[in-house]
Order: sequence, then C-alpha cells, then structure tokens
Amino acid sequence: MTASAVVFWVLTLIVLASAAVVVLSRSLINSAFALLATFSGVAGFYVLLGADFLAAVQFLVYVGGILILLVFGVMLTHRIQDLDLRAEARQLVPGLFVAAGVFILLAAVATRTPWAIGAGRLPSATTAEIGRAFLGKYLLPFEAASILLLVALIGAALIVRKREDA
Amino acid sequence: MPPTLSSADFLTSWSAVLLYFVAAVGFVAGGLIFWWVIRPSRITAEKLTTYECGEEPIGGAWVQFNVRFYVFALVFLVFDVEAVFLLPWAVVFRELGAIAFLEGLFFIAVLAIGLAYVWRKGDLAWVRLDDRVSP
Amino acid sequence: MPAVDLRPLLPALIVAVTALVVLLAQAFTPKGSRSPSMGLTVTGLAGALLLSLTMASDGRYGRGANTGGSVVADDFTLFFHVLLIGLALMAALLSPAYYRENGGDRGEYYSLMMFSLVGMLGLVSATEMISMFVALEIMSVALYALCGTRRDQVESQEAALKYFVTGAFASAFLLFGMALLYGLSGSTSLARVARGVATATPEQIPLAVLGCGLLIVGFGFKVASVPFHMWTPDVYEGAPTTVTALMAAGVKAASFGAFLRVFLGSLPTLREEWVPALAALAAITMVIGNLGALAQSNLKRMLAFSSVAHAGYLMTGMVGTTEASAQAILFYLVAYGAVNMGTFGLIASLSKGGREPLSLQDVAGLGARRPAIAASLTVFLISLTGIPISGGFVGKFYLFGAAVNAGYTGLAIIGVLMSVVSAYYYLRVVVAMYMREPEGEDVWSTPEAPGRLAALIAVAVTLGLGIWPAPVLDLARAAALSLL
Repeated sequence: MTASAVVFWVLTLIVLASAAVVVLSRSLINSAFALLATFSGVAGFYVLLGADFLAAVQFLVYVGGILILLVFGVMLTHRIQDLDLRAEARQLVPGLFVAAGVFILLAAVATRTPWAIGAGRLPSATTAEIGRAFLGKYLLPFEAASILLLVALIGAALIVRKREDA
Repeated sequence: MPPTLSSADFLTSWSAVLLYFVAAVGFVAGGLIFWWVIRPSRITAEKLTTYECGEEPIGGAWVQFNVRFYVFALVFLVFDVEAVFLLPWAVVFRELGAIAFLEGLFFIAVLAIGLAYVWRKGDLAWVRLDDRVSP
Repeated sequence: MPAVDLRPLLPALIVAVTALVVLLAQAFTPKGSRSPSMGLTVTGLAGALLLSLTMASDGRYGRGANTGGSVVADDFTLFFHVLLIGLALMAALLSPAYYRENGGDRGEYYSLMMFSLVGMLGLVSATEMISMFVALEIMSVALYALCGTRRDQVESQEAALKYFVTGAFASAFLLFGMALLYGLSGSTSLARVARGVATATPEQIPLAVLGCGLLIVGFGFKVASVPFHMWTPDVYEGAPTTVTALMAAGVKAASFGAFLRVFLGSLPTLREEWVPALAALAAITMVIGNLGALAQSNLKRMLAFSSVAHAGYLMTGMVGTTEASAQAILFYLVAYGAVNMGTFGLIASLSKGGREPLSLQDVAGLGARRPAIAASLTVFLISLTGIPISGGFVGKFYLFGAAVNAGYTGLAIIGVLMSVVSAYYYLRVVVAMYMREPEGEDVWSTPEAPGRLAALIAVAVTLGLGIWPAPVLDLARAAALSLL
C-alpha cells in the first residue's frame, strides 16, 4: 500500500467514525465537537486530491466559522443540558433501504463512468489558478457572490435583530 | 478506492503539515491518556464540583450565552467567506493588471456597504439603548 | 483582455444599484424621519423595465448580446425580464399599505425584494451553471429573510425557517446535479454540457441521467411540484402576503425559466429519459395539488395548493419539449403571474390592523360591500380555474394542447379533470362573495391608489390575455424559438 492510500484509509476511518458520533450522540455539544473531526477529515481528503486551496477553505470556513456558529447556537439555547436530543429511529428499515439504494446508485455511477478528466499534471498550488479563473472565465459569478454575501448579511442581521419601533 | 496521485512530491510537501497535525493531536491526547492511566481515581462529591479557583461554585457551568454573540458570529462568517474569495484574487491580481485590481475592489465595496449598513443599524454595538432601559 | 459586452447585465445592475441605494438611504436616515424607500424602488424598477423593453425592441440595444458566455440577453431572457420586473413593480406598489397595517421593517424589505429580483433576472439569463447557481442563491437567500420580516408573528418565523431548510436541500440537489453534468462534459457552460450529453458514450449515459434526475429534484422544490411541495402551504401562509405574491408569481416564473433553459435548451437529447419522469410528476402534482386545495379553509393555504397544482399544469406543457410547449409555458407564466399578484395583492390591500381576509366568512358579502374588489377577485379566480375570456383559459388550452401533440393525451385529460375539480374551491369563494350575506361590520381597509393601480394592471392583463392573446403568444413564440 502506498503512503497516500494509508492516509486515505485513516482519514476515511476518522470521517466515518466521527460522523457516526455526530448522528448518534445524545448530547448536542458532543455532536458539535465530533463534527470538528469530520470537517478536518474532509479537509484531508481535499489535500489528497490535490485541492490545497479547498482544504484551506474547509478549515477556514467550516472548522473556523460554521462550527463556531454551531457551538454558539448550542450555548445560546435555553436549558440545553436538560434536553435529550436523540433522533428517534422511526422508520429505521425504510430509511436504511433508501440510504443503501442511494449509495449503491451513486457508487455504481461514480466507479463505472468514464469521467471527462482534464489533461496535464495537477497544478502544484491551486490558489493562483482559482484566482485566474475568478478574474477570467468566472468573473461574473465571482462578483455576483459579493451580492450573495451582502444579502446573507442583511438577512442575518434582520432576522436576529430585535423589533424596532420605527 | 485509494486515490492515485500523479505527483508524489505533492504528498511529500504536505507531510510536514500531516506531521504537525499528528503531533498537535498527539500532544493533547497523549497527555490526557497518560495521566488517565497512571493517576489514582478516588471520586468524591467534592471533587466533582466545578473548579472556580477555590471559590464555592454558584450554579452550573452551563449558562445561557448572550444572544449578541450570535450576531457577531454571523457577521464574522460572512466576512470569513469574503476572505476566502479574496485570497485567490490577492495572489494573482498583480499579474493581471489594473482591471483585475478594480474588480476585487468592487467585490470589497459591495461588502463594505453591508458593513456600513449593520454598523448604522447598531447591530455591531454590544450595548444598545433598549438593553439598558429594559431589565 | 477582450472588451466585455455588459449590456445583458444592465437591467439586473440597475435593480442591484437601486437596492443598495435604498439600503443605505434607510440606514442613514436620521431617526424620526422616513426614507423614501418605495419611491426609490418604483423609480429604479421602472427604469429597469423601460431598459428591458428598449433592449427587446431592437438588436442595436443589446438583444441577442451575451456577456462572456455567462449571461445572454436573447428573446427568452428579455421576455422573462419584462415579466419579472413588472411583477416586482406590482409587489412594490402593494407593499406600503400592507406594511403600515401589519408592521415590519420597510427599508430592508424593499432592498431584499430587489435583490431577490436580481437573482431571478440572473437565473433566467444565465447560460453557465455556476452563474445560474449563484443567481438562484441570491434569489432564495433574499426570500428566506423576506419570509421572516413580520417578526412579531410566529408563523412568519416558521415560514422563514421552513423555506430556508427545504430551500437549502433543493440547492444541494441542484448543485449535485450540476456537478455530475460538469463531470460528464468538463465544462460548466450549458452549451458545452449539451454537446457533452449529445455525444455521451453508452457508459456515460447513467451519469447524465442521474445528473438530470438530481436537477429535476432541485427544480421540483423551487417550482413546488409534488413530492417536493411540502413546504409550500406553510411558507405561503406564514410569509407576509406581498412576499407570498412575489414567491407565487416571480419565483415560479424564474424557476421555470431556468428549468426550461436547462432541459429544453440543453438536454433535449436525453428527452427519452426525462420526459416520462416529468409526466409522472406532473400527473401526481396536479392531482395532489388540487385535492389538497379542496381541503383548505384558509385562502392563503388554498392558493398555496393551487400554486402546487399550477406547477403540475406547467410541467404538463413541458413534456412536449417543442417550441410550442415552451411558448405555452411562457404564456401561462404571464397569465398566472398577473393573477397571483392580483389575488394576493387584493388580500394584502384589504388587510387591516394585522388581520387579513382569509376565510370564506371574511369575504362573504364582499360583492355588495366592495363591488370593484369582488369583481376583480372573480376575474382572477375565473382565470385560475381556466374559464374562457380569461388568460388562464388560453394558457391551459395551449399547455394541454402541447401535451396532446406529444402523445400524452392521458396527462391532458387529468389536467382537464383536475381543472373541473378546482372550479369547486375557486368558485366557492365567488359564491361566498356574491351569494352570502355579509357577517358583522365591514372591518377591512380600502385599497390605496398604488394598490388599486397594481390590481387594475392585473385585471387588465388577465382579461387582455383572454380576449386578445395573439401579441403575447407571438412574443412567447419568439422567446421559445431563441431558446431551442
């Protein structure tokens, strides 16, 4: 087994085990912290796939941002420690069947399809390539993303804010 | 399926990061596990109370946070994502010239308007007037 | 760097700049005085509408231009631009009276409404998947917040949360589908995707079909088709009524625009695969939407299920996959948009002190007390049912005709039968207005001039499309031809 294969399987173990804790844990705070391992493991996958910028984004936004927000959300909730947060396993069998079906479908398609893979070597660092794409071919969605972020900011501020008497 | 990488040097350049990561996790986990193995475990009710530098603890450690934290976290997240978008721009705008620089400024300007808006609306003020009046 | 043709972006740019101006004007207006949000909004939207009409009139003003392969201003785009900006303009006219009676913050409201319009405009004009996705998100995120602008109401909060959660799911499905099609063709441009799908090897077909399926799920959520409609009644009911009007009319139109551009424009070679799936969805959507509406006593919920049912009628038209079916859908979206804006608009204009006329008791005797409003509502309900002299009739005629021509006669029969069923719940309202004695005092507001203007436009469009449909049919045909 090559070194990258070892890393891959270790990461897979981390991601799956921590994801199981996220879903099965009774305490919301434990779930949130287990998510830390899941997010980090996924960042590891990105590194393995040669997407170094995406890995950094995964850490910066998911581990550094979303997870903090999640933990804040838990801390803000009134009397959180009294809640039993088990997800009820209603319709466990049909759920398992659907999940297994989706998995088989996706796995079969993913492994059998001849994908349209670009030619050439992997770029050793992707940040500059992404920057060129942002400022070239994808300039419009790049600028539109600033509007999207602005709308998200206004919406978030509006919903969280107390009612004004204006 | 194990991934195949075209360049082996790519992985070696990341091995330092991996090593750092393993060392960081191992340092904390190793310490905890080591002391858990060698320490005696005699639990009393006194020991299970929250440690507050010798004071008698009042109430539990789980207090409800001020909801204002959440506003800040949300605003932070928006600008966190903005940073993600600006990073690749910052790497390449020199080689692409003045127009590319202006395009990045436009991006920042739109979000600066958002910042001006939340600032004017008082969303960034920790203590607001209505908080001081109401109990 | 080659010169970039920015003309296709101009209408959306005008709307976006107006939205920013409204936002800043509101934030920097000193306490005590009011910023002129509604005036600025109407001015900006009217400017954008005028520009879109000018662009549509002649090739010199940007008709057919495209911006870097991301956005195109073909006839299809411009048709939707005029429709969507027109609808937003009507919603803006209806808003001030509604928000005065029901509370809520106004400056952000107009600004967010225009941002969601920017998203809609981008959605119908994007010819590249990432632009399309960002546009969809701008539209959706603005609407999530808009749903929750009546912050004193639990239902409004519930609507915002439900719409957000289900909308995020829908976006994820769409993105997954787009990613698979990208993996197949190696490009995010719809034209390249079309070529990639057309030349796909037999081993690649499952991937293309899976991508198609995920896109249908994503668009299905956005247009509120069964089985992805669960959010619709609660969201339509809880959202402020003017926002509901914009969702029912604008979001549906914009989502169908993108739906058509992707499926009819780019994936026609896969029609053997997706047409049967769409036909099945259309059938259950019509049946469940109409049966669901029968059981509702709340007008907004009833109209929500009616919106589901109409998604079914529109998808019935789509199985034809010809330019006639695209033409029928475009025509019907105009008729449906005007009617929904009118119906929800009248409910909003009648609201007083946080209450709206939502039950049959509330509208009983309206024919005697408010003849003009009752007559307008009757016109809208007749059009929703699909009775002649209304735009709804002509639209349904063409939609079901497209299905019959494609060999889906059974589907057309289901559509006609379900329209008959729908007559019961639509006309029940008309009967209540004219045949029942009014109960209690007349507690409702009198619509103000801007609201009356919006309702008048809606009535004129509805009757105009029913009596003289030819001009809009021609425009819809030209738009359909530019797509295929």
